[in-house]
Amino acid sequence: MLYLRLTVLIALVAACSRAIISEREPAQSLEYRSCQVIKEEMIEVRTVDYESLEKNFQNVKDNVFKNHCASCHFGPDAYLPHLDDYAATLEYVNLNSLSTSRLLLSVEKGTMPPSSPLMSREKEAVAFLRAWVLEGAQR
Amino acid sequence: MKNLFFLGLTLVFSFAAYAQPVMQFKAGNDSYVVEKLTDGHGIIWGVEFINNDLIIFTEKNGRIQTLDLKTGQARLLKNLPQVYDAGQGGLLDVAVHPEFAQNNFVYVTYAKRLSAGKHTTAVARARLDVNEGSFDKWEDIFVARPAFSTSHHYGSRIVFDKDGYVYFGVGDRGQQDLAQNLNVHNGKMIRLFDDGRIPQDNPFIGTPEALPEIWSYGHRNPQGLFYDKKTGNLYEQEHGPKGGDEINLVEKGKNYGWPVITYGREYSGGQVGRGETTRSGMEQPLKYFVPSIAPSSLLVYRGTKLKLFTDKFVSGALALQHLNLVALKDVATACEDRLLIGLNERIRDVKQGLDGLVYVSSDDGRIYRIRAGSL
Ligand code: HEC
Repeated sequence: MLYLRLTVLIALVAACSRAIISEREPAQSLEYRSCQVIKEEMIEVRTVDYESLEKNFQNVKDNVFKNHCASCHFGPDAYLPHLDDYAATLEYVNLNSLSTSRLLLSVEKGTMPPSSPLMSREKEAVAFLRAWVLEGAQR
Repeated sequence: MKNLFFLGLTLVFSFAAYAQPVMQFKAGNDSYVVEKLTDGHGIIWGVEFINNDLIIFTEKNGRIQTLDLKTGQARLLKNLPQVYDAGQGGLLDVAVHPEFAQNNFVYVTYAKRLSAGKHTTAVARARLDVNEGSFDKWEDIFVARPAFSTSHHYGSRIVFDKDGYVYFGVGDRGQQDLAQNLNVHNGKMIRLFDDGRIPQDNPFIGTPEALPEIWSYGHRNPQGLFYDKKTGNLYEQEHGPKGGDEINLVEKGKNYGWPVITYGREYSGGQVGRGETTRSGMEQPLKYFVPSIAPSSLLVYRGTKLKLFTDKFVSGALALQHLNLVALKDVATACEDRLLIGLNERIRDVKQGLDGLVYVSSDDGRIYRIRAGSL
């Protein structure tokens, strides 16, 4: 990845420098020159093994809500629903028609989180949330 | 009782847990960690500090939120300004008044619709009640004239200097030649009192037909602006044409040359104007970037916590998707460091936090923090 970027960069710089030299012969070459090699390493975000998780609120909260919804839905000042609280979360679950619960629809219709829907990134998390809701959203 | 205990536990855990390390990098012997503080928002255009524990940030789509650095919790504020969100326009930068603790003023720059199909760059302020999470009435302190039907090159960052004057840039709005015209606001840096009044020592006060708000001119699309408290210098960074992104030292009344002189070429490949790069009476940039990086924020890092950053220009790159570092000293020829390449995100704003760390926002709706050390 880094190697690829470097080669692309070198190619770019080379192309640009040629264009510039032919036009105005600057005293010094002013195009991009890197100071040093900086080694970047992405940190793997621990992926959750949903298969092994029991379908209860605590697990949904710790693995789905905490990773993907907490910045807006945790804490006393957060938006409704307060997804860190079981009773408050249940208000968005329709016990008479579990599959049409607003909690589920908000995610499955791609409206939550507002700008980067979970549906398009973390299908497993959504599946776990769905399974928990359909089994009656147990504590 | 059991609930209370549980609440206590989650508070303790969420304090440490919300900042998620996503990357580490090494420069020489020094290690750094990049942590994600919040996620899931729109394009985060502006980030500013209200106090040690509270960030305020703007999204291009018009929302303003606070981010509590103790809990990681974002909170949508109420009573937001009306903005025109289209093309490059929308809600843009945010600044906190230097005396916020006394007067609660927050400033934003934004794209404003003036009449059907015509919009322009404007600056508004309102008082923020931090506890209520709500603004009082928004008041425009500046509206750039004239408005245009184009929806690009609005500028604009906003900063205060040590005397409390407000500075911000208005882009050329795609009307290149007007950047040299002193009777319009586009392509200019503007200087005002904090309530919008015009300082009588502005450079063009006595010039017939010139607009009195102008501080400097000949700018293309300034989207980086930094007032360096250490030296009193005002630095500006602008999107140039291809190969012509610039860092400028902005001084009273000076002409920065666009579109008469530039080191860039049109993105279509042709030369700009007569292809000149120097002319007397026009300022040279401190640095221009080849190739273009598309800078959208500028900071001079004066802290000591991140050694790699000290006394360097730090700018966020949109097109080349990285955080750019280049030394102040001999900046024209200095080498550059490119960081955060692995994130693959357009870097929008960059700030030095009150804690001396560097905070970065992206078009993917995230805010990151860079700290020294390892995991
Ligand atoms: C970036 C902030 C943000 C994130 C992250 C976020 N939400 Fe929301 N959520 C909101 C906002 C804003 C509302 C609307 C609040 C209002 O209008 O009162 C909302 C409303 C909701 C609602 C109520 C919808 C209704 O029908 O009334 C549900 C349910 C919800 N969110 C679930 C989630 C879930 C589940 C996640 C994580 C997968 C999530 N949200 C992540 C900001 C967010």
